Amino acid sequence: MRIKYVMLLCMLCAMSACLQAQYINWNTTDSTFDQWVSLSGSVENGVVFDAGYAHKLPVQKLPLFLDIHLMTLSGEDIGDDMAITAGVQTLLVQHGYWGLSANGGFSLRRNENVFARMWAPGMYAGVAGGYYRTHFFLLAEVGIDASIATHIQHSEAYLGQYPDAVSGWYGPFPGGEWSFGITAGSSIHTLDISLSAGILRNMDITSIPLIPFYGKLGLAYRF
Amino acid sequence: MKKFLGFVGIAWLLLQLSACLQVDEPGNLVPKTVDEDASLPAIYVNGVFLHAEAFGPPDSTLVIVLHGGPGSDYRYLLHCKDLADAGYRVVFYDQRGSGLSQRFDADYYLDKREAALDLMYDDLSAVIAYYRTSADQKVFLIGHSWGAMMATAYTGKHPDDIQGLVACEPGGLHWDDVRTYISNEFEFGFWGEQLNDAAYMDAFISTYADAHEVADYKLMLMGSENNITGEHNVAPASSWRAGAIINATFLQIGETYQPDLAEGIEQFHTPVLFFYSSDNMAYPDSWAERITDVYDTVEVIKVNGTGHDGIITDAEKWQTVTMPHILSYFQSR
Repeated sequence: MRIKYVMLLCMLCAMSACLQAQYINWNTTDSTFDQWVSLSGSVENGVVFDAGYAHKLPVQKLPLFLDIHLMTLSGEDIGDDMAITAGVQTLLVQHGYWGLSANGGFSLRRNENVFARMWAPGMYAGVAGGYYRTHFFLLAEVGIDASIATHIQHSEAYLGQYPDAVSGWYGPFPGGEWSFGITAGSSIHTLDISLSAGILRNMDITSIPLIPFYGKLGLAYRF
Repeated sequence: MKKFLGFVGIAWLLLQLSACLQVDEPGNLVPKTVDEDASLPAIYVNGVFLHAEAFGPPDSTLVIVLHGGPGSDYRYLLHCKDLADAGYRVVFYDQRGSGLSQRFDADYYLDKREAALDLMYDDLSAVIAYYRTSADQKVFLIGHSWGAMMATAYTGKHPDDIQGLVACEPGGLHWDDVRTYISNEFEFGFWGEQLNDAAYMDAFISTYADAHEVADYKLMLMGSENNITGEHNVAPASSWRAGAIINATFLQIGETYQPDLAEGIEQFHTPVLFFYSSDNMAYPDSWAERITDVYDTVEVIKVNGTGHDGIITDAEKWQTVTMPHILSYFQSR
Protein backbone atom coordinates (compact mmCIF):
# COMPACT_ATOMS: atom_id res chain seq x y z
CA MET A 1 0.00 0.00 0.00
CA ARG A 2 2.77 2.42 0.95
CA ILE A 3 4.73 1.62 -2.17
CA LYS A 4 1.62 2.37 -4.20
CA TYR A 5 1.34 5.83 -2.68
CA VAL A 6 5.02 6.58 -3.18
CA MET A 7 4.71 5.56 -6.81
CA LEU A 8 1.70 7.84 -7.14
CA LEU A 9 3.72 10.73 -5.74
CA CYS A 10 6.54 10.05 -8.16
CA MET A 11 4.13 9.92 -11.07
CA LEU A 12 2.50 13.20 -10.08
CA CYS A 13 5.90 14.80 -9.78
CA ALA A 14 6.99 13.53 -13.17
CA MET A 15 3.77 14.75 -14.75
CA SER A 16 3.82 18.17 -13.24
CA ALA A 17 7.45 18.92 -12.36
CA CYS A 18 6.07 21.73 -10.26
CA LEU A 19 5.13 20.19 -6.98
CA GLN A 20 6.27 21.04 -3.53
CA ALA A 21 5.42 19.80 -0.09
CA GLN A 22 6.07 22.37 2.51
CA TYR A 23 4.01 21.61 5.58
CA ILE A 24 2.18 18.68 7.00
CA ASN A 25 -1.10 18.63 8.80
CA TRP A 26 -0.17 18.50 12.47
CA ASN A 27 -3.76 17.74 13.37
CA THR A 28 -2.84 14.15 12.66
CA THR A 29 0.04 14.08 15.12
CA ASP A 30 -1.92 11.87 17.44
CA SER A 31 -1.89 9.21 14.75
CA THR A 32 0.90 6.71 14.33
CA PHE A 33 2.96 8.22 11.52
CA ASP A 34 6.62 8.75 12.23
CA GLN A 35 7.99 9.48 8.76
CA TRP A 36 7.04 11.41 5.67
CA VAL A 37 8.33 11.99 2.18
CA SER A 38 7.69 15.14 0.26
CA LEU A 39 7.98 16.41 -3.28
CA SER A 40 7.58 19.99 -4.26
CA GLY A 41 8.00 22.59 -6.95
CA SER A 42 8.40 26.24 -6.15
CA VAL A 43 9.38 29.61 -7.44
CA GLU A 44 11.79 31.14 -4.94
CA ASN A 45 15.09 32.46 -6.26
CA GLY A 46 14.42 30.36 -9.34
CA VAL A 47 12.30 27.39 -10.22
CA VAL A 48 13.12 24.83 -7.53
CA PHE A 49 12.33 21.12 -7.34
CA ASP A 50 12.59 19.58 -3.89
CA ALA A 51 12.53 16.04 -2.57
CA GLY A 52 12.42 15.52 1.18
CA TYR A 53 12.34 12.88 3.82
CA ALA A 54 11.52 13.30 7.51
CA HIS A 55 11.88 10.86 10.36
CA LYS A 56 10.55 11.21 13.88
CA LEU A 57 13.24 11.54 16.52
CA PRO A 58 12.95 9.73 19.85
CA VAL A 59 11.99 12.78 21.87
CA GLN A 60 9.23 12.57 24.44
CA LYS A 61 8.02 16.14 24.93
CA LEU A 62 7.56 17.25 21.32
CA PRO A 63 6.86 15.57 17.99
CA LEU A 64 10.32 16.34 16.63
CA PHE A 65 11.21 15.30 13.09
CA LEU A 66 14.58 15.24 11.38
CA ASP A 67 13.88 16.77 7.96
CA ILE A 68 16.27 16.33 5.01
CA HIS A 69 15.84 17.88 1.56
CA LEU A 70 17.58 17.79 -1.78
CA MET A 71 16.79 20.64 -4.14
CA THR A 72 17.76 21.45 -7.68
CA LEU A 73 16.91 24.36 -9.93
CA SER A 74 15.45 24.29 -13.40
CA GLY A 75 17.77 24.91 -16.34
CA GLU A 76 19.73 23.16 -19.03
CA ASP A 77 22.40 22.05 -16.54
CA ILE A 78 20.47 20.12 -13.91
CA GLY A 79 22.50 19.75 -10.73
CA ASP A 80 24.86 22.67 -11.16
CA ASP A 81 22.52 24.78 -9.04
CA MET A 82 21.35 22.83 -6.01
CA ALA A 83 20.99 22.71 -2.26
CA ILE A 84 20.79 20.18 0.50
CA THR A 85 19.28 20.95 3.86
CA ALA A 86 19.09 19.09 7.14
CA GLY A 87 17.10 20.31 10.07
CA VAL A 88 14.23 19.67 12.40
CA GLN A 89 10.55 20.45 12.30
CA THR A 90 8.22 20.31 15.23
CA LEU A 91 4.84 21.34 16.56
CA LEU A 92 5.62 23.78 19.35
CA VAL A 93 2.12 24.52 20.61
CA GLN A 94 -1.29 23.07 20.00
CA HIS A 95 -4.51 24.43 21.43
CA GLY A 96 -7.66 22.93 20.02
CA TYR A 97 -7.47 23.32 16.28
CA TRP A 98 -4.77 25.97 16.51
CA GLY A 99 -1.10 25.17 16.33
CA LEU A 100 2.32 26.71 15.97
CA SER A 101 5.08 24.78 14.24
CA ALA A 102 8.74 25.64 13.84
CA ASN A 103 11.57 24.49 11.69
CA GLY A 104 15.27 25.17 11.52
CA GLY A 105 18.48 23.70 10.32
CA PHE A 106 21.50 24.01 8.09
CA SER A 107 21.87 24.21 4.34
CA LEU A 108 24.58 23.85 1.74
CA ARG A 109 24.02 25.52 -1.61
CA ARG A 110 25.82 25.42 -4.91
CA ASN A 111 25.51 27.76 -7.87
CA GLU A 112 27.53 27.70 -11.07
CA ASN A 113 27.62 29.71 -14.26
CA VAL A 114 30.28 30.40 -16.86
CA PHE A 115 31.98 33.02 -14.71
CA ALA A 116 31.91 31.60 -11.18
CA ARG A 117 31.12 28.66 -8.96
CA MET A 118 29.71 29.37 -5.51
CA TRP A 119 29.23 27.24 -2.41
CA ALA A 120 27.41 28.56 0.62
CA PRO A 121 26.81 26.88 3.97
CA GLY A 122 23.83 28.48 5.62
CA MET A 123 21.13 28.35 8.24
CA TYR A 124 17.39 28.60 8.07
CA ALA A 125 14.58 28.96 10.59
CA GLY A 126 10.89 29.58 10.42
CA VAL A 127 7.62 29.47 12.27
CA ALA A 128 4.18 28.74 10.89
CA GLY A 129 1.02 29.15 12.90
CA GLY A 130 -2.56 28.52 12.00
CA TYR A 131 -5.63 26.41 11.96
CA TYR A 132 -5.39 22.64 11.60
CA ARG A 133 -8.42 20.45 10.89
CA THR A 134 -8.45 16.85 9.86
CA HIS A 135 -8.91 17.59 6.16
CA PHE A 136 -7.36 21.02 5.75
CA PHE A 137 -5.02 23.54 7.31
CA LEU A 138 -4.35 27.24 6.86
CA LEU A 139 -1.13 28.86 8.07
CA ALA A 140 0.75 32.12 8.23
CA GLU A 141 4.50 31.73 8.01
CA VAL A 142 7.67 33.70 8.60
CA GLY A 143 11.10 32.42 7.78
CA ILE A 144 14.71 33.42 7.39
CA ASP A 145 17.25 31.66 5.23
CA ALA A 146 20.80 33.00 5.24
CA SER A 147 24.16 32.00 3.92
CA ILE A 148 26.77 32.07 6.69
CA ALA A 149 29.53 32.59 4.16
CA THR A 150 29.90 32.10 0.41
CA HIS A 151 32.89 30.61 -1.31
CA ILE A 152 33.37 32.04 -4.79
CA GLN A 153 35.70 30.42 -7.29
CA HIS A 154 36.06 32.53 -10.41
CA SER A 155 36.40 30.74 -13.73
CA GLU A 156 39.03 31.35 -16.38
CA ALA A 157 36.33 33.18 -18.36
CA TYR A 158 35.85 35.70 -15.55
CA LEU A 159 39.57 36.04 -14.91
CA GLY A 160 39.79 36.81 -18.62
CA GLN A 161 37.67 39.88 -17.87
CA TYR A 162 39.18 40.74 -14.49
CA PRO A 163 42.44 38.92 -13.69
CA ASP A 164 42.63 40.34 -10.15
CA ALA A 165 39.24 39.01 -9.07
CA VAL A 166 39.65 37.43 -5.64
CA SER A 167 38.38 33.89 -5.16
CA GLY A 168 37.72 32.75 -1.59
CA TRP A 169 35.29 32.95 1.29
CA TYR A 170 33.04 35.99 1.42
CA GLY A 171 31.00 36.90 4.46
CA PRO A 172 29.77 36.94 7.07
CA PHE A 173 26.18 36.42 5.99
CA PRO A 174 26.60 37.79 2.44
CA GLY A 175 23.24 36.52 1.23
CA GLY A 176 19.88 35.57 2.56
CA GLU A 177 16.24 36.42 2.72
CA TRP A 178 13.21 36.76 4.88
CA SER A 179 9.99 35.19 3.72
CA PHE A 180 6.47 36.16 4.74
CA GLY A 181 3.52 34.23 3.44
CA ILE A 182 0.58 31.93 3.86
CA THR A 183 0.01 28.26 3.22
CA ALA A 184 -3.23 26.45 2.57
CA GLY A 185 -3.30 22.68 2.63
CA SER A 186 -5.63 19.80 2.19
CA SER A 187 -5.30 16.30 3.63
CA ILE A 188 -6.59 13.13 2.06
CA HIS A 189 -5.91 10.20 4.34
CA THR A 190 -2.17 10.49 4.88
CA LEU A 191 -1.49 12.68 1.87
CA ASP A 192 -1.10 16.44 2.41
CA ILE A 193 -1.29 18.84 -0.52
CA SER A 194 -0.18 22.38 0.23
CA LEU A 195 -0.01 25.65 -1.64
CA SER A 196 2.13 28.51 -0.33
CA ALA A 197 2.65 32.06 -1.49
CA GLY A 198 4.39 35.07 -0.08
CA ILE A 199 6.99 37.75 -0.44
CA LEU A 200 10.77 37.64 -0.13
CA ARG A 201 12.92 40.39 1.29
CA ASN A 202 16.67 40.68 1.68
CA MET A 203 18.14 40.54 5.16
CA ASP A 204 17.77 44.30 5.62
CA ILE A 205 14.01 43.89 4.94
CA THR A 206 13.87 47.02 2.78
CA SER A 207 15.61 45.75 -0.35
CA ILE A 208 14.27 43.01 -2.56
CA PRO A 209 15.79 40.07 -4.41
CA LEU A 210 15.51 39.60 -8.18
CA ILE A 211 12.35 37.52 -7.71
CA PRO A 212 10.67 39.20 -4.73
CA PHE A 213 7.99 36.60 -4.16
CA TYR A 214 7.59 32.87 -3.83
CA GLY A 215 5.01 30.26 -4.60
CA LYS A 216 5.12 26.60 -3.68
CA LEU A 217 3.03 23.59 -4.48
CA GLY A 218 3.76 20.41 -2.64
CA LEU A 219 2.82 16.94 -1.58
CA ALA A 220 3.71 15.14 1.62
CA TYR A 221 2.92 11.53 2.29
CA ARG A 222 2.92 10.54 5.95
CA PHE A 223 3.50 6.96 6.99
CA MET B 1 34.61 19.56 28.62
CA LYS B 2 31.69 19.68 26.16
CA LYS B 3 31.04 23.33 27.03
CA PHE B 4 34.70 24.14 26.54
CA LEU B 5 34.78 22.45 23.14
CA GLY B 6 31.57 24.23 22.16
CA PHE B 7 33.06 27.56 23.19
CA VAL B 8 36.23 26.85 21.22
CA GLY B 9 34.16 25.81 18.21
CA ILE B 10 32.06 28.97 18.24
CA ALA B 11 35.12 31.15 18.77
CA TRP B 12 36.85 29.44 15.85
CA LEU B 13 33.80 29.94 13.64
CA LEU B 14 33.52 33.63 14.53
CA LEU B 15 37.23 34.07 13.88
CA GLN B 16 36.88 32.45 10.48
CA LEU B 17 33.87 34.59 9.61
CA SER B 18 35.65 37.76 10.66
CA ALA B 19 38.48 36.85 8.30
CA CYS B 20 36.13 36.52 5.33
CA LEU B 21 36.50 38.71 2.30
CA GLN B 22 33.95 41.51 1.89
CA VAL B 23 31.73 41.46 -1.18
CA ASP B 24 31.56 45.25 -1.30
CA GLU B 25 35.29 45.85 -0.89
CA PRO B 26 36.45 47.66 -4.06
CA GLY B 27 38.64 45.45 -6.16
CA ASN B 28 37.56 42.08 -4.74
CA LEU B 29 34.85 41.05 -7.20
CA VAL B 30 35.00 43.85 -9.76
CA PRO B 31 37.76 46.32 -10.68
CA LYS B 32 38.02 49.63 -8.88
CA THR B 33 36.68 52.69 -10.63
CA VAL B 34 38.79 55.69 -11.62
CA ASP B 35 37.86 57.60 -8.47
CA GLU B 36 39.16 54.63 -6.43
CA ASP B 37 42.28 53.88 -8.47
CA ALA B 38 44.35 56.87 -9.56
CA SER B 39 46.48 54.72 -11.87
CA LEU B 40 43.63 54.36 -14.37
CA PRO B 41 43.37 56.78 -17.31
CA ALA B 42 40.69 59.31 -16.43
CA ILE B 43 39.32 62.74 -17.08
CA TYR B 44 37.21 64.93 -14.82
CA VAL B 45 34.45 66.72 -16.71
CA ASN B 46 30.93 67.88 -15.92
CA GLY B 47 31.37 66.92 -12.27
CA VAL B 48 32.25 63.28 -12.86
CA PHE B 49 35.39 61.18 -13.11
CA LEU B 50 35.25 59.28 -16.39
CA HIS B 51 37.47 56.42 -17.45
CA ALA B 52 38.76 57.71 -20.79
CA GLU B 53 41.53 57.30 -23.31
CA ALA B 54 42.39 58.95 -26.61
CA PHE B 55 44.55 57.76 -29.47
CA GLY B 56 45.85 59.40 -32.62
CA PRO B 57 46.94 62.93 -33.52
CA PRO B 58 45.28 65.40 -31.10
CA ASP B 59 44.50 67.96 -33.79
CA SER B 60 42.89 65.64 -36.31
CA THR B 61 39.18 64.87 -36.64
CA LEU B 62 37.68 63.70 -33.36
CA VAL B 63 35.98 60.31 -33.34
CA ILE B 64 34.04 59.72 -30.13
CA VAL B 65 33.16 56.06 -29.51
CA LEU B 66 30.02 55.42 -27.44
CA HIS B 67 29.48 52.02 -25.85
CA GLY B 68 26.28 50.11 -25.30
CA GLY B 69 24.23 49.31 -22.24
CA PRO B 70 23.42 51.58 -20.56
CA GLY B 71 25.97 50.12 -18.19
CA SER B 72 28.42 48.44 -20.51
CA ASP B 73 31.92 49.80 -21.17
CA TYR B 74 34.20 50.61 -24.09
CA ARG B 75 36.54 47.63 -23.78
CA TYR B 76 34.72 45.61 -26.44
CA LEU B 77 34.97 48.51 -28.89
CA LEU B 78 38.74 48.84 -28.78
CA HIS B 79 39.06 47.68 -32.38
CA CYS B 80 38.08 51.26 -33.16
CA LYS B 81 41.62 52.19 -32.09
CA ASP B 82 42.57 51.18 -35.63
CA LEU B 83 41.00 54.44 -36.78
CA ALA B 84 43.81 56.27 -35.00
CA ASP B 85 46.27 54.58 -37.35
CA ALA B 86 44.29 56.12 -40.19
CA GLY B 87 44.91 59.55 -38.74
CA TYR B 88 41.87 60.18 -36.59
CA ARG B 89 41.81 61.24 -32.94
CA VAL B 90 39.82 58.38 -31.41
CA VAL B 91 38.31 58.97 -27.98
CA PHE B 92 36.90 56.23 -25.76
CA TYR B 93 35.18 56.82 -22.47
CA ASP B 94 33.05 54.80 -20.10
CA GLN B 95 29.81 56.64 -19.58
CA ARG B 96 28.91 57.87 -16.11
CA GLY B 97 28.02 54.92 -13.84
CA SER B 98 29.43 52.46 -16.37
CA GLY B 99 32.65 50.50 -16.78
CA LEU B 100 35.39 52.03 -14.69
CA SER B 101 33.81 55.48 -14.46
CA GLN B 102 32.49 56.97 -11.25
CA ARG B 103 29.33 55.52 -9.73
CA PHE B 104 26.27 57.37 -8.49
CA ASP B 105 23.39 56.00 -6.46
CA ALA B 106 20.02 55.25 -8.00
CA ASP B 107 18.29 58.21 -6.34
CA TYR B 108 20.83 60.55 -7.91
CA TYR B 109 19.40 59.64 -11.32
CA LEU B 110 15.80 59.03 -10.33
CA ASP B 111 15.50 62.41 -8.62
CA LYS B 112 16.41 64.07 -11.92
CA ARG B 113 13.55 62.29 -13.64
CA GLU B 114 13.78 62.46 -17.45
CA ALA B 115 16.55 65.06 -17.14
CA ALA B 116 18.85 62.23 -16.05
CA LEU B 117 19.35 61.53 -19.74
CA ASP B 118 20.64 65.08 -20.18
CA LEU B 119 23.50 64.15 -17.87
CA MET B 120 24.70 61.72 -20.51
CA TYR B 121 24.44 64.31 -23.27
CA ASP B 122 26.15 66.95 -21.12
CA ASP B 123 28.94 64.48 -20.36
CA LEU B 124 29.39 63.90 -24.08
CA SER B 125 29.53 67.64 -24.73
CA ALA B 126 32.14 67.93 -21.98
CA VAL B 127 34.19 65.05 -23.40
CA ILE B 128 34.17 66.68 -26.84
CA ALA B 129 35.21 70.00 -25.31
CA TYR B 130 37.97 68.30 -23.30
CA TYR B 131 39.61 66.70 -26.31
CA ARG B 132 38.88 69.38 -28.88
CA THR B 133 41.92 71.43 -29.75
CA SER B 134 40.29 73.93 -32.12
CA ALA B 135 36.82 75.23 -32.90
CA ASP B 136 36.89 73.96 -36.48
CA GLN B 137 37.92 70.42 -35.52
CA LYS B 138 35.34 68.02 -36.94
CA VAL B 139 33.52 65.62 -34.61
CA PHE B 140 32.27 62.17 -35.66
CA LEU B 141 30.29 59.88 -33.39
CA ILE B 142 30.37 56.09 -33.49
CA GLY B 143 27.76 54.48 -31.28
CA HIS B 144 27.02 50.83 -30.71
CA SER B 145 23.63 49.60 -29.41
CA TRP B 146 22.66 52.00 -26.60
CA GLY B 147 25.64 54.08 -27.70
CA ALA B 148 24.02 54.43 -31.13
CA MET B 149 20.75 55.44 -29.50
CA MET B 150 22.59 58.03 -27.42
CA ALA B 151 24.59 59.25 -30.41
CA THR B 152 21.39 59.71 -32.39
CA ALA B 153 19.71 61.56 -29.54
CA TYR B 154 22.75 63.78 -29.07
CA THR B 155 22.98 64.54 -32.77
CA GLY B 156 19.29 65.41 -32.80
CA LYS B 157 19.96 67.95 -30.08
CA HIS B 158 23.17 69.29 -31.63
CA PRO B 159 22.79 68.76 -35.39
CA ASP B 160 25.26 71.51 -36.26
CA ASP B 161 27.99 70.29 -33.91
CA ILE B 162 28.34 66.79 -35.36
CA GLN B 163 29.81 66.20 -38.79
CA GLY B 164 29.32 62.45 -39.00
CA LEU B 165 27.21 59.78 -37.30
CA VAL B 166 27.85 56.04 -37.36
CA ALA B 167 25.06 54.06 -35.71
CA CYS B 168 25.61 50.35 -35.07
CA GLU B 169 22.40 48.48 -34.30
CA PRO B 170 20.54 50.84 -32.00
CA GLY B 171 17.77 48.75 -30.46
CA GLY B 172 15.15 51.44 -30.92
CA LEU B 173 14.84 55.21 -30.98
CA HIS B 174 11.17 55.79 -30.25
CA TRP B 175 10.50 54.36 -26.80
CA ASP B 176 7.92 51.86 -27.98
CA ASP B 177 10.59 50.41 -30.25
CA VAL B 178 13.10 50.33 -27.42
CA ARG B 179 10.64 48.38 -25.30
CA THR B 180 9.86 45.99 -28.13
CA TYR B 181 13.52 45.39 -28.88
CA ILE B 182 14.39 44.70 -25.24
CA SER B 183 11.60 42.16 -24.98
CA ASN B 184 12.80 40.49 -28.18
CA GLU B 185 16.52 40.39 -27.42
CA PHE B 186 16.43 38.37 -24.21
CA GLU B 187 15.46 34.78 -23.67
CA PHE B 188 14.82 34.75 -19.94
CA GLY B 189 12.71 31.61 -20.14
CA PHE B 190 10.94 30.72 -16.93
CA TRP B 191 12.57 27.30 -16.93
CA GLY B 192 15.86 28.46 -18.43
CA GLU B 193 19.34 28.33 -16.97
CA GLN B 194 19.98 32.04 -17.32
CA LEU B 195 17.07 33.27 -15.22
CA ASN B 196 17.56 30.59 -12.60
CA ASP B 197 21.29 31.26 -12.33
CA ALA B 198 20.60 34.95 -11.89
CA ALA B 199 17.81 34.56 -9.35
CA TYR B 200 19.56 31.87 -7.33
CA MET B 201 22.57 34.14 -6.78
CA ASP B 202 20.44 36.12 -4.31
CA ALA B 203 20.76 33.20 -1.89
CA PHE B 204 24.56 33.56 -2.03
CA ILE B 205 25.06 37.30 -2.28
CA SER B 206 22.28 39.78 -1.60
CA THR B 207 22.09 43.03 -3.51
CA TYR B 208 21.38 46.00 -1.31
CA ALA B 209 20.46 49.45 -2.52
CA ASP B 210 23.41 51.20 -4.16
CA ALA B 211 25.90 48.46 -3.31
CA HIS B 212 27.56 49.01 -6.67
CA GLU B 213 30.27 46.36 -6.35
CA VAL B 214 27.73 43.61 -5.68
CA ALA B 215 25.18 44.76 -8.23
CA ASP B 216 27.83 45.21 -10.94
CA TYR B 217 29.35 41.82 -10.18
CA LYS B 218 26.02 40.03 -10.40
CA LEU B 219 25.20 41.77 -13.67
CA MET B 220 28.59 40.65 -15.00
CA LEU B 221 27.82 37.06 -14.03
CA MET B 222 24.45 37.26 -15.78
CA GLY B 223 25.86 38.58 -19.02
CA SER B 224 27.31 35.56 -20.73
CA GLU B 225 26.09 34.57 -24.18
CA ASN B 226 22.90 35.62 -25.90
CA ASN B 227 21.78 33.21 -28.59
CA ILE B 228 19.17 35.64 -29.91
CA THR B 229 21.47 38.59 -30.54
CA GLY B 230 24.57 36.48 -31.22
CA GLU B 231 26.59 38.16 -28.48
CA HIS B 232 29.59 36.45 -26.92
CA ASN B 233 30.42 38.26 -23.73
CA VAL B 234 32.49 35.39 -22.32
CA ALA B 235 35.32 36.11 -24.75
CA PRO B 236 38.39 37.42 -22.89
CA ALA B 237 38.57 41.19 -22.48
CA SER B 238 34.94 41.73 -23.44
CA SER B 239 34.34 44.21 -20.65
CA TRP B 240 35.82 45.73 -17.54
CA ARG B 241 32.83 46.13 -15.29
CA ALA B 242 29.10 46.34 -15.71
CA GLY B 243 27.12 49.30 -14.42
CA ALA B 244 24.07 47.77 -12.82
CA ILE B 245 22.58 50.84 -11.16
CA ILE B 246 22.70 53.02 -14.28
CA ASN B 247 21.32 50.15 -16.31
CA ALA B 248 18.36 49.57 -14.01
CA THR B 249 17.59 53.22 -13.30
CA PHE B 250 17.77 54.32 -16.94
CA LEU B 251 15.40 51.56 -17.95
CA GLN B 252 13.11 52.67 -15.14
CA ILE B 253 13.35 56.30 -16.23
CA GLY B 254 12.72 55.28 -19.82
CA GLU B 255 9.65 53.28 -18.90
CA THR B 256 8.33 56.16 -16.79
CA TYR B 257 8.97 59.09 -19.12
CA GLN B 258 9.27 57.34 -22.50
CA PRO B 259 11.85 59.66 -24.04
CA ASP B 260 12.02 59.93 -27.82
CA LEU B 261 15.66 59.43 -28.74
CA ALA B 262 14.94 60.35 -32.34
CA GLU B 263 13.75 63.83 -31.44
CA GLY B 264 15.40 66.45 -33.65
CA ILE B 265 17.35 63.97 -35.77
CA GLU B 266 15.36 65.09 -38.82
CA GLN B 267 17.34 68.33 -38.54
CA PHE B 268 20.55 66.42 -39.21
CA HIS B 269 20.90 66.44 -42.98
CA THR B 270 24.29 64.77 -43.14
CA PRO B 271 24.06 61.14 -44.29
CA VAL B 272 24.18 58.60 -41.46
CA LEU B 273 26.17 55.37 -41.74
CA PHE B 274 24.11 52.56 -40.22
CA PHE B 275 25.23 48.98 -39.49
CA TYR B 276 23.24 45.96 -38.44
CA SER B 277 24.10 42.28 -38.25
CA SER B 278 22.68 39.18 -39.89
CA ASP B 279 22.91 36.95 -36.80
CA ASN B 280 20.91 39.13 -34.44
CA MET B 281 17.52 37.48 -34.65
CA ALA B 282 15.94 40.44 -32.87
CA TYR B 283 17.14 42.66 -35.72
CA PRO B 284 15.67 41.42 -38.99
CA ASP B 285 15.78 43.54 -42.15
CA SER B 286 12.33 44.89 -41.36
CA TRP B 287 13.54 46.16 -37.99
CA ALA B 288 16.55 47.87 -39.57
CA GLU B 289 14.18 49.57 -42.03
CA ARG B 290 11.95 50.69 -39.19
CA ILE B 291 14.80 52.14 -37.13
CA THR B 292 16.55 53.89 -40.03
CA ASP B 293 13.31 55.55 -41.09
CA VAL B 294 14.03 58.49 -38.78
CA TYR B 295 17.24 59.52 -40.53
CA ASP B 296 17.09 62.10 -43.32
CA THR B 297 19.69 60.25 -45.40
CA VAL B 298 21.17 56.92 -44.43
CA GLU B 299 23.54 54.35 -45.85
CA VAL B 300 22.62 50.94 -44.45
CA ILE B 301 25.21 48.15 -44.24
CA LYS B 302 24.26 44.63 -43.22
CA VAL B 303 27.23 42.77 -41.73
CA ASN B 304 26.74 39.13 -42.57
CA GLY B 305 27.95 36.23 -40.46
CA THR B 306 28.06 37.96 -37.11
CA GLY B 307 25.85 39.20 -34.31
CA HIS B 308 25.05 42.34 -32.38
CA ASP B 309 28.51 43.07 -31.01
CA GLY B 310 30.42 41.33 -33.81
CA ILE B 311 29.94 44.37 -36.05
CA ILE B 312 32.94 45.74 -34.16
CA THR B 313 34.26 42.91 -31.95
CA ASP B 314 34.64 40.35 -34.74
CA ALA B 315 38.18 41.11 -35.93
CA GLU B 316 37.59 39.78 -39.43
CA LYS B 317 34.30 41.65 -39.92
CA TRP B 318 35.83 44.78 -38.49
CA GLN B 319 38.80 44.66 -40.83
CA THR B 320 36.95 43.66 -43.97
CA VAL B 321 33.52 45.26 -43.63
CA THR B 322 32.95 47.72 -40.81
CA MET B 323 36.16 49.71 -40.73
CA PRO B 324 36.48 50.13 -44.53
CA HIS B 325 32.93 51.51 -44.66
CA ILE B 326 33.60 53.82 -41.73
CA LEU B 327 36.83 55.13 -43.26
CA SER B 328 35.11 55.65 -46.60
CA TYR B 329 32.28 57.49 -44.84
CA PHE B 330 34.64 59.66 -42.82
CA GLN B 331 36.63 60.57 -45.91
CA SER B 332 33.44 61.65 -47.69
CA ARG B 333 32.47 64.04 -44.92
